Amino acid sequence: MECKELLKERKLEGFINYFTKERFLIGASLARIGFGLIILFLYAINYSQRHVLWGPNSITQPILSLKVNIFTLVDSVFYFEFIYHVGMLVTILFIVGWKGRIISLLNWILTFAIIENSLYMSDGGDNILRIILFYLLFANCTAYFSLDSEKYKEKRSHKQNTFFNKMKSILHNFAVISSIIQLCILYLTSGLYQAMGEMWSNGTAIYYILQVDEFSHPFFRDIILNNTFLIVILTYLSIIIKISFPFLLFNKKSKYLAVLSVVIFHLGIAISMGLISFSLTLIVIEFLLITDSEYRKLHVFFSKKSGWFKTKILAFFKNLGEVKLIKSQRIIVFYDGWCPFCINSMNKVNKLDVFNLVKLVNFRNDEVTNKYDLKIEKLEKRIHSLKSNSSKLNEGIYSFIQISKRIIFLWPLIPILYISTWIGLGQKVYDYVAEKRNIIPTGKCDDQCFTNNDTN
Amino acid sequence: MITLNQKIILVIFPIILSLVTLFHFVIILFHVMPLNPLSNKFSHIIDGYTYPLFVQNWHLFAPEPISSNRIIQMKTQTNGKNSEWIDITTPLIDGNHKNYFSPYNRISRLSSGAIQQLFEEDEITLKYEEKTKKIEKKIEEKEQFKIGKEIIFRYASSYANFQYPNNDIEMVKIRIIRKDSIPFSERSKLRKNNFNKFKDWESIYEFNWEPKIEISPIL
Repeated sequence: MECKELLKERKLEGFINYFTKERFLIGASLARIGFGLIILFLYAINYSQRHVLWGPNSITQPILSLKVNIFTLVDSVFYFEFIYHVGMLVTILFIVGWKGRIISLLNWILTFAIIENSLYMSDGGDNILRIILFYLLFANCTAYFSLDSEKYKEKRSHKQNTFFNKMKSILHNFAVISSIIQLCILYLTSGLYQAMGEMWSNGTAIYYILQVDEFSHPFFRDIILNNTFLIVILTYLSIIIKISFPFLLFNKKSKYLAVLSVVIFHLGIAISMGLISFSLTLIVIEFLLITDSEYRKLHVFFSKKSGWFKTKILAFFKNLGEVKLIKSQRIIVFYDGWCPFCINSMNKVNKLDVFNLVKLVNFRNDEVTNKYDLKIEKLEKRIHSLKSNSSKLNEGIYSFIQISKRIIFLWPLIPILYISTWIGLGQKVYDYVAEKRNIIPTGKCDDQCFTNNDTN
Repeated sequence: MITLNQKIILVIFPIILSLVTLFHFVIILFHVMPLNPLSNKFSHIIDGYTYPLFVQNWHLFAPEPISSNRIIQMKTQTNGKNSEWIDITTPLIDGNHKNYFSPYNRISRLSSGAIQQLFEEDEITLKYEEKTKKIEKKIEEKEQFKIGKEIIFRYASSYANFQYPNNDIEMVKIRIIRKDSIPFSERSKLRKNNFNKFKDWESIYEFNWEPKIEISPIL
């Protein structure tokens, strides 16, 4: 009798553990960053057009004025400006993963509204994005690669087994699974609708779509239209990839095939049809399909090979940096060699500068001030930078913008820097920090005083 | 420590969530599938549930893919003088083809969307009209056409302000022209060079002159 009880207890424990085990944490965090970047891109690339596209006197105003959402709540340009910039700020906070759930919620409200107001400019990518963002409101998307992650890990180590945490894990798992089911429904129905159509079943659909200017890049149109073989194969492949997608997910190995074929399919759509954000959104959703243990395996695999990769990839970027057009973007940055903080930051910049576009020069070196004809008093106050193809000097925060532009990893900072200069805060904050910095003249300084650039 | 009551909740909660998920996606499935007797019967429930959070449709290019080009042309009137017809759709699409990572990428979709607003209606109304052979209202009297017209004039005015920033354009006139795709059986006609020529285009709707609307330039 006792034995049976024990068995029951075990089964119950097993059931609970199955649902409360935290899964898909890495994928959810990666998806958060990916979605955030896509949304930020929407705000940033249309920044100059924001009024005519979404504002109170926009082209689609006759419809927007009927809608009630956070962007249209108040019919005023000032209000719209405010919300638009709040939207950008929230998206940035979403990307860096600060205050996970609250920012997720704000980001969802704002993204939902701007997509709803995009009307004709919107596409299936926006549609799935706003739905997945809703499901992910219940997920933990900041466990990794975020400002919250440290706190989360600390909490987890001593609070893992509380009831509240287990409930949260259950919700998280259901949120991710719902996102995956939603993705499967997308591919399945889209594929089935295609199979129903005459032009899709007779293998000519792509031929017709390519004749529509809006959805075909002339370069690919010419290549594909003149090749019956390609037209038929691509038409059928697009149906097969979509319909098979949900079924391939049931097996681990075939799952990789599904993910790979869908990613290639979307890259093809992005390039040939120009549906950039649509394709990127669907590729980012694929991050959710990979489990944490699979990510760890991948990480181990790549870190084993990382030495080889690093040299190859770095060499590739360095070579790319030698291309004339890119090379002409080089800048010289004059930093303070007597300030450990500056040296530290410049070392980091140097590490991230894969294109080799930022040349770091210590202005405490007398030759430097003479060669470039610069005044040391000015250099001491603010960091200066000089474009290699012009004589225009940038200083302070503008130097940072110049540096960030040249380093891919710092690109997310650019909108923040621009906004900070635009509201007039950027340079002031820079001056404040610069003034407070420690200066240790040479002689009193250890090896740390030299950047990698100097020693190389 | 987790109490017995909490344990019971931890067992029931996933079961409830499973049922909710199942219910949710059954409704979503009916929402995205082609119209059938069941989804027709329960349409008010399905629509009520899916709108606005889960509205979705996944058949932009299916079952029948979009296969014709429809573009907007505009004439402007300055000091009583009329201009020629100019194409205000294709330049934006070309801009997108030159650089996908530009504002053109989304702006170039406005034109076809506005045209669709004019002429396309929801499936059920269309099917109903087809069956009964009775057209309820003239197209100009339909609400969606009126809105579409206003949007097209706003689009054209915005385009005019971008193209001719220093011109005192008073009036604009708009027409929609269209070119059907060349059937696969006649694909030999499809030569690279004449693809964008206007000779096969037909005018499908022409509006009267309207005053230009005050709006900021499109680019």
